Amino acid sequence: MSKEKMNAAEIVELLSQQVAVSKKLSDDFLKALLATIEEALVSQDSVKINGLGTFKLQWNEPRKSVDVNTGAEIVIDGYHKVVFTPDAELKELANEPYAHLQPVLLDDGEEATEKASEETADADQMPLKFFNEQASEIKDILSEINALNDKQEDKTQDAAIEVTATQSSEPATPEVPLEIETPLEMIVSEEAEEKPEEKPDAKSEVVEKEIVESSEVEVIETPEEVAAVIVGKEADPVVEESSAMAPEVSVEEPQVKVKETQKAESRKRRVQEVDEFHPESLGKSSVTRAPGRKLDFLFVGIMLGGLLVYILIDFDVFSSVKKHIDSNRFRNEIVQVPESQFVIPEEIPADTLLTDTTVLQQDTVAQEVVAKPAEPVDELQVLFDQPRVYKEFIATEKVIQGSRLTRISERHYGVKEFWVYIFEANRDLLNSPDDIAVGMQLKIPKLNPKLADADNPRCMEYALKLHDEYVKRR
Amino acid sequence: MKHKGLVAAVASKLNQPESEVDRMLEATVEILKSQMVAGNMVSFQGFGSFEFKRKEERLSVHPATQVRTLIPPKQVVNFRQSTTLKMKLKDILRHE
Repeated sequence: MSKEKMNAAEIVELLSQQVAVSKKLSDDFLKALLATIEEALVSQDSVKINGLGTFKLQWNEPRKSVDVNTGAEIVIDGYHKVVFTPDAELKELANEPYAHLQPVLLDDGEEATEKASEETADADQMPLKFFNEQASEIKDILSEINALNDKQEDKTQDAAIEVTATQSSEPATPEVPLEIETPLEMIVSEEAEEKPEEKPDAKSEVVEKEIVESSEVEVIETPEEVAAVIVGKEADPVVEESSAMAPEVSVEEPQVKVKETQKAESRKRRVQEVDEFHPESLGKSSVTRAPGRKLDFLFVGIMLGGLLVYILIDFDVFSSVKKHIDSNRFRNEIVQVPESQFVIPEEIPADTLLTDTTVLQQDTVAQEVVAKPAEPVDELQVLFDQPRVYKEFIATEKVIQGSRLTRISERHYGVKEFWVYIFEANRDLLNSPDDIAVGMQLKIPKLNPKLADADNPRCMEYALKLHDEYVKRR
Repeated sequence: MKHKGLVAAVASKLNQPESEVDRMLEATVEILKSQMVAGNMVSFQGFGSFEFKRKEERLSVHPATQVRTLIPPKQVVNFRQSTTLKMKLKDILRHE
């Protein structure tokens, strides 16, 4: 788009060509046109040209500004400005190249996709993070357990060796280990299950792996150590073992399941390793107990932890139950007290709640008590219900300009609400409260002090009720 | 002042029939349009200039609903008053 500045002379030329008039005329025309528009604008008029648009004056308010050079505050005077509003026709023409474009609603689609991509990126990294965290945690725990085991191992080694003696004779019967294979698997799986419970987010796969790894590591580490120690003992004839067997078994029984699981594990190990190291099965069996015991400690530890949690929960449950019971007892006490009190005014329905003996005592009391408060209630109600006859009058009031029934009532009874009774007494004159007219002689009735008791809320209530009745009727 | 009033005023100044002035005015408007469509700027000395201006596309956010809308670019007619006209208008009594 080449921007070329067309001046009036060029336009005049074009115009004279197009309309086929002299240049002078078209020049004059253009000048006259512009002059006319100018004049109209100066006289604060708007000028509309069909097919082009409207010229208008716009007042720009004076405003404060800052001198760019000096930084001093200056006030820019208000001024008029010519504003040109193009016709719809011209507007469309101007926007023709972009007419096909429409505003596009940018709903959250873009943002959502962006976020989604970010999330997926995160999700890709997250599992790795989790795995790493979990792995390190598990390693820590295992190392702690190992440390514990190492301490205890020294103490238990002697005993362990004895146990191996008893158990080493068993592999002679091949059926037993086959049967007991399952428990170990169960234990392992249990551990695998219990581990993730400690860290809810943990992936069981990782845990299992870790356990397997750690156990393998232990297997690798310990056998040589223990084997070295044990080999010496293993040199002893099998006879010793068989003789040792009898007392050992009896000792085993009272001891905890720990040994049972030990057995099971050791047997499994043996089954695995017997194939490879048949002649050395004795030594191996004793050697393989080390990892098994470690697993046992793990298992026992978990069991103890579970027991602790169970006890804690138990304690919680018991305390809550106790609270519940206590609160129930307390409530019962509360409930019992008011019953005996409320029974008195409530008369007969309360009797059903009471035991026979108390009914006899309280029935009489209740009836006496009930009778008295009931009386004034009824009396008032009777007063309200019976048609009021006004025979005595304390005064007559002449209605003057500005008189109101409420004001008259206020003057005579002290309360404006009782105007209804004045109205009732003058029903012969007044058909509705609005009928009051200047010059009327209104009779002011003497009211029953019980009925018109300004201190009694019920009386006021009744008066207001009458008020509503009369006001609505008109 | 409406179109007819303008035509009448110009006609009386030029001593020309209104029909002729109307024809010329129409032609002038057409020339103006065609020049602007061609991308030219038409300026009348002492009055002002007409021009098409392109407004770039922009992102508008509805302040209440926070709905973001992409407003496409558009072209508008721009009239710029000349300084002489502005000076003449200064003589007008202040608004209110």
